[in-house]
Amino acid sequence: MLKNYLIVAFRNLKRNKFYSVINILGLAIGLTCMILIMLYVNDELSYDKHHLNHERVYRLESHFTIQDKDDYFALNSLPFAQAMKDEYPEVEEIVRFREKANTMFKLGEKQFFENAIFFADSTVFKVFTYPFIYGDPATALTKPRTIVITKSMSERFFGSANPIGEELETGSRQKLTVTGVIEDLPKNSHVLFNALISMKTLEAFYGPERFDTGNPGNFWNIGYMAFMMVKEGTDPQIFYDRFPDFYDKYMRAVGDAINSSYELMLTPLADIHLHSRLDWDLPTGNIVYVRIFSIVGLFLLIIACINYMNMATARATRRAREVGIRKAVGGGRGSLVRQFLGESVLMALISLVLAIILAELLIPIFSQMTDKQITFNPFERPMLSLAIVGLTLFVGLVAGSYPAFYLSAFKPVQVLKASALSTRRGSTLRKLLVFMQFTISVVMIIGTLIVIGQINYLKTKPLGYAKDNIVYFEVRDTVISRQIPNLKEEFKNNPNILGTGASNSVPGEETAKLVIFVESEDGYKEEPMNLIWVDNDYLPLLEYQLVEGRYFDEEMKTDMEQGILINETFAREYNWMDDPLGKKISFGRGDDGSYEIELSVIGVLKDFNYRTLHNNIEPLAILLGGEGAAMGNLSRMYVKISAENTAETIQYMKEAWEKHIKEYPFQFKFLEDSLNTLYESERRLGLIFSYLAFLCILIACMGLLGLSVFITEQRTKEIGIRKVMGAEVGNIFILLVKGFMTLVSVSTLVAMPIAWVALDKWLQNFAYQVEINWLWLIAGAGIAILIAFLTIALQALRAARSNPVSALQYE
Amino acid sequence: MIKTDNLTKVYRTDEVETTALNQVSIEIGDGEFVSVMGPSGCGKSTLLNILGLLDSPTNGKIDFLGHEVAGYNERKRTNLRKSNIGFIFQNFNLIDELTVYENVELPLLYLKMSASERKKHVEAVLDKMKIAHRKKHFPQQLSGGQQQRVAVARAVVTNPKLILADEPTGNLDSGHSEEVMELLSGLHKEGTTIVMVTHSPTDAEYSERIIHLFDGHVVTKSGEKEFHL
Amino acid sequence: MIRMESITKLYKTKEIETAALKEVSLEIRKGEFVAVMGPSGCGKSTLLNIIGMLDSPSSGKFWFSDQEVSSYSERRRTNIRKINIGIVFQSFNLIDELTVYQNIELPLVYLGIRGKDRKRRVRDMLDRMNIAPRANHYPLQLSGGQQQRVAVARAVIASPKMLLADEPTGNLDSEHGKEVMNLISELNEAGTTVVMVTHSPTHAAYSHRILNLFDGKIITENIQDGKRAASQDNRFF
Repeated sequence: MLKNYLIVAFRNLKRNKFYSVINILGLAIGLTCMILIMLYVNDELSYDKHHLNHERVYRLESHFTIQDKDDYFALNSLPFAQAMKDEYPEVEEIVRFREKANTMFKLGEKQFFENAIFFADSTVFKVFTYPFIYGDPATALTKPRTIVITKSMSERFFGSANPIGEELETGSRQKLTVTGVIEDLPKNSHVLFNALISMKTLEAFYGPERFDTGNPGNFWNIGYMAFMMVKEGTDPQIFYDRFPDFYDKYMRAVGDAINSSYELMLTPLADIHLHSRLDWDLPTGNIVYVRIFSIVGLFLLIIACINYMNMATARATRRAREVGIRKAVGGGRGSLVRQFLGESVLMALISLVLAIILAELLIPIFSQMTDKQITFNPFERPMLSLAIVGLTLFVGLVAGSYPAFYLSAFKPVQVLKASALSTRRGSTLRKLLVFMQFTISVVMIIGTLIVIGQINYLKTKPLGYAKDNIVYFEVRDTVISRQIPNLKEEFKNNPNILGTGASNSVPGEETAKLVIFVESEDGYKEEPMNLIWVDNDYLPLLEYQLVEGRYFDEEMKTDMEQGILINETFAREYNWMDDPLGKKISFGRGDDGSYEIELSVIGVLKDFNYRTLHNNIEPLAILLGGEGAAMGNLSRMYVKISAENTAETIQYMKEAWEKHIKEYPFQFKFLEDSLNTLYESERRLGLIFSYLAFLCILIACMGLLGLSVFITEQRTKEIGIRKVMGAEVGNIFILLVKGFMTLVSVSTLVAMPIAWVALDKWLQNFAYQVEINWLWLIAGAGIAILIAFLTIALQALRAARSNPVSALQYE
Repeated sequence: MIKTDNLTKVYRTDEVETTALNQVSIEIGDGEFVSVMGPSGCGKSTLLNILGLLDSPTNGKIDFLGHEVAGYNERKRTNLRKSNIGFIFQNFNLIDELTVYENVELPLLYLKMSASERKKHVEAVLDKMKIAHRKKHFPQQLSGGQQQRVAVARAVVTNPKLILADEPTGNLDSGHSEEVMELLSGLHKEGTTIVMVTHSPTDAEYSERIIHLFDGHVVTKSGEKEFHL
Repeated sequence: MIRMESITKLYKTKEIETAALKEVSLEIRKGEFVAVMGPSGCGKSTLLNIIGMLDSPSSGKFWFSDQEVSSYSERRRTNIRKINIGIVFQSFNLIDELTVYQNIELPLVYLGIRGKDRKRRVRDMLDRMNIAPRANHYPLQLSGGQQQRVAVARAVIASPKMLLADEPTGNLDSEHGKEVMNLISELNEAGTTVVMVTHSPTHAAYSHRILNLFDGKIITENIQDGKRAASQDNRFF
C-alpha cells in the first residue's frame, strides 16, 4: 500500500511539474532563509558564550555626569582594577585591555602590520577562555615585554615552529618575547585580537604613578576596557550598592572639584555585543537588527509555508476524483487521511533537503555578507536541526491536513459524477494571504530603497570640509615623524601635490574628550569638550570655513600656547556669537587654585561633521599640536593631491617615503574611502535588506503565480461560458488580471505608510536623515505591481485564449 | 441479494428541494442482470449509488445480503462495499497517475492481500479482459473502449457478488459498446449479479429485466425485453 | 441559414485519434427547428459546437449566412457568434457567482450595449420568462427548471437568428422539461432557427426535422408531419 501511495505521490509531482516546482522550491527558499537567519541570530546571540566563566564576567563601564551632561563610556581607568580588588572581596579577577593602534612587527626579513593588538593583564587567561597551543597561561603575560600571539599570527612569522622564547620587534624597535600561542579567536568575541602584550610593558613605559590608586586624578582618566570576574554566586547588585563608599574613597576629591560625578556600570560579558550602546566601545552588534532579521525571516517562512499549504490545498481539490475512486473501490477515510498527510509531509521533506543543500551553498556568501564565521553542520547543532525538521514536519502536516480531512470527507457520488467542484471556499483567506505577502514585499522593497537612499545621502552630504583628493598616512612613531620635514620638502617638488597638513585624528573617528574650563560670567565653568589637535596647515588644507577670526598662523608664535579655535556650536552654547574672539579657555587648575594654560579664542569655524552622521555636531575646540605642544600627537599626515595623475602622484609619494623611511612601507588611505567605511554596517544592512526584499517578492510571486493559475483553472467553466456569450480575449484577460491587481494595488497602498513609519524610525538612528521621498514609495509600489502583473499576465493570456469547448464539454 | 423498501432520496440546496427518488421498492435476486432505464434526471444514478452503498437514502430501507444498511455509517458501508461490490462508470474513472496494472490492483490493496496473490489475481483478470499487453500503459494512452475494459477489470478483480454499472457504454462508440456489453454478459453468465443504468435500448437487451424510472418513481417492472424507438 | 460540406472532426490525444464527425454534410434553413438525435458519443455535441462556431472542424467547409467561416480567426467567429447565435446547454452553464439578472445581461455587455438599454431588455426578458421575482438570486438558489429558463433567457436576450440547444432538458424532470420545450417552440414560432440535440423522442417531436447521428455520421432524417417543414433536399452535395 505504501508503495502505491508513493507511486501516486511521485507521479502526481511529475504530472503537475509546475505546481510541484513552485511548491517545493517556494518552501525550500523559505526554509533556507530561515536556516540562514537562525544561524545569523544564533551567532549574534552566542557572542562570548564560549568563555567558560562568561556568566561571572562583567565589564566595568563609566557614566560621567559633568555639569549635568551625561557621558557613557565602555572604558574605565587604570587604577580602577586594583581598587576594585581591594574594596570588594567578591571580585575574583580583573583584566584590563588597552587597544594599540595597528603595529608593524618584524622578524628578520619578515615584517607584517598586525591590527587588533591589545595590552592586557596576565589575568586575562583566568577571566577568559583562550586555549593555549604553546606556553603557560599562568605566567605568559606576567613580565614586561612579553607577547602572546594567535595561531595565525604565529604561522605568519614562524610557520609551524614553536615560537616560545623568540623575539618579535615592533616598528619602533621594541623587542617583545613570545610567551604563548593561542588558538585564533572565534569571530563571535567582543574583544578580538591578534596579539596581547603584557600590561606590565605599558606600566614600565608609563611608570607606576598612573597606576597609583591613591591619586584620584588617575580614576578620571579613562582609556582601558576592564572586565571583572566575580566569585561564584555573587549578585552584581552589591557593586552598585557599595559603590558610593568606593566613590567617596577614591574619586570624590576630583569629582567635587570639577562639579562632576561618576557612576559605575556593569554589563554581563555575553550582553555586551547586542545590548551595550556606549561611546568608545569596540564594534558591537545591534539587537534591533537581530530583531528585524528575525521578524523578516519569520515572515518569509510564514509566507512560504502558507503558500505551500495554499497550493497543496488548491491542488488537492483537483484530486477529488481520485478520492472518489479510492472510496468506491474500498478505501476508508482513515487510509485517505494517511495518504494525503503522508504526501504532504514527503513534499515538505523534499523541500527541506533542498533547503539544506541551498543553505550550505549560500553560507560562504552569507558569511561574507554578514562578516561572520558561519558554518552549518546539521549534526553539530542537534537542537537547531531538530527545530528545523520539526517545523518542516509541522508544515507538512498542517498543509496536508486540509486536503486530508476535507477531501476524504467527500461523498464519492458527488466527485465522480460532477467534475466541477466548487472550491471557492477559502478564497477570502487566499486573498488575505496574497494581500499580506505583497504588503510585506512592498515594505521590504521600499525599505531597501530608503536604506540605499540614506547611505548615498550619508556618502554625498557636504560635511563642511573638502574631503576629495585627500590622502593620509599614519605617523606611527618618531621614526616617521622625524622624517616629516624631509617628506614635505620632497612633496613640494611635485606640482600635483597641492599641500600637506597634520592632525591627531581622522574625521569620522571618535574625538578625544577632556574636561576644560570655559570663561563665563560666574568665572570658569567645567565643560567636557571634544578636542582636535592640528598643525598650521591642516585647517586651510581641508578648507574648513571660518566664520570669525583666523586660522592658526605660523607667524603668530603665541598660537602654540595661547591660541584656540572653536566651532559655531561651541560659540552658540556660550552665547559668544556676538563677540567670540578673545574669550578665555583654560586646561586646568594649579595647586594654588588659579587657572593655568589660559588660551584665547582666535577664530570660529563654521560647523562641520567631525564625527559620523549618526551624531549631531557638538561643541568642539581645536588646538595646535605637534612638537612643542603640551598635548596632541599629530599622528596623521594629510596630503592634498590634484585630481589628475593620481596614480603617478601616489607613486611619487611612495618613492619619497622609501627614500627617507626604511623601517615602514608606505601605506596610505584616501579620506573619502575611510569616510565611507564609517557606514559599513548600514551598507551591509542595505545589502541584506535588498536580498530579503528580493526573496520576499520572489516567494510572493511564486505564490501569486500558483494561486492565479489555480483560480484560472477554477474559472475555466466561467471563462468558457463568457466566451460563448461573446467575450473576446481582451475581456477575459482583464477579468482574470483585475482581481489580483486590485489586491496587489491595495496592499501597496497599505504598505506605503507602514514602510514610511518603520523607515522613519530607523532614520532616527542618524542625526542627518535623508528626506523620505514620495518617489521611493511610488517606485517600490510600482516595482511590486509590475512584477505581480508580469507574473499573472502570461498565464491569464493563455487562459483567455483557450478554446471554450474544452471547458464545457465534460460537464 | 438486494431489497429496497420505500426508498426516498431528497437533495437540498439553499432554497430548493429536489426529490430524486420517491418511494422506490425493488428487489434484485442473486445472479440477476437488471437494467435501469429512464430519461435523464429520473433518478437512475441516485438509485445506483444507493444500491452501491456510496450514498444513503433519506428514507426507506435497503436489505443488502441480509444487512439492513440504510442506517450504516460510512466505515461499515465501506467494509461491506469493498469485498462485495464492483463499480463501472460512464467516464471510466481510472486514476490517471496509475498504470493499467496498478489501477486494477487498487481494490486488492484495500483488501490487504499479499503481493503475490494480488499479482495472480490482477494478471488473471487482465488476461480475461484482453488488456494484459497494455498493463504498463497509463489510462490516457488508451482508447475509450480499452479504458472501460480496464475499469471492468478493476470492478471484477475482487470477485464481487454485485456489479453496478452506470451507463458503461455512454462514452463509447457502438463497436466498443458491444465489446463491453459482451464482457458484462459473460460475467453475468458466470453468476455475477449486475445492475446497469443505461440510455441504450440495445444495451438493455443484454439484461434479463428492465426497471423504468420516471421522475423518481418506478413505472414498470418488466420481465420482458422492450424496444424503444 | 447554415450549410455544411464534408465536415470531419478528429480528436487527438497522445496515441489515440477519434473521429467524432465523419464527412457530415447538411443544410439548415432559416426558421427551421431541427432535432439531432443519436446514442451517446455519436458526435451530436461536436456537431452543435461546430454549428455554434465554438469549435472548428478538422476538415470540410461550413457556411454561416453565406460566409465560409471554418477558416475564420477566433475573433471573427466570436463576432459572428455573439450577434447571431444563442446557446443553451444541458448543464445550464450559468455563472454561479453572478445573479440571474447579471447572467442574462452578459451577452449584452459583450455586445457593448449601453447600460440603460441593457436594463430595459433584461427586465423585459425576465418578465417574459416569468423569472422576474428571481432576478437577484444566484443560480444555485434555483431549481433546475428555473436555471434552464434563465439559460434560455440568456441565450435569446440578444435576439439571435439561431438558437442552439444541447440536451436542454437533459437535467430536468418531465414537467420542467416540457416547460422548457414550450419555451423553445415559442421562440421558433417567433422566427428563431433552432437546432437542438436531445435524447428524448418526446422532445424531438417538437421539431420539424430529426437528424439521426450514429458514429459520427447522419444516418437518417425524419421530416415531421403537420409541421411547417422546410425540407426538400436536405443533403447538400
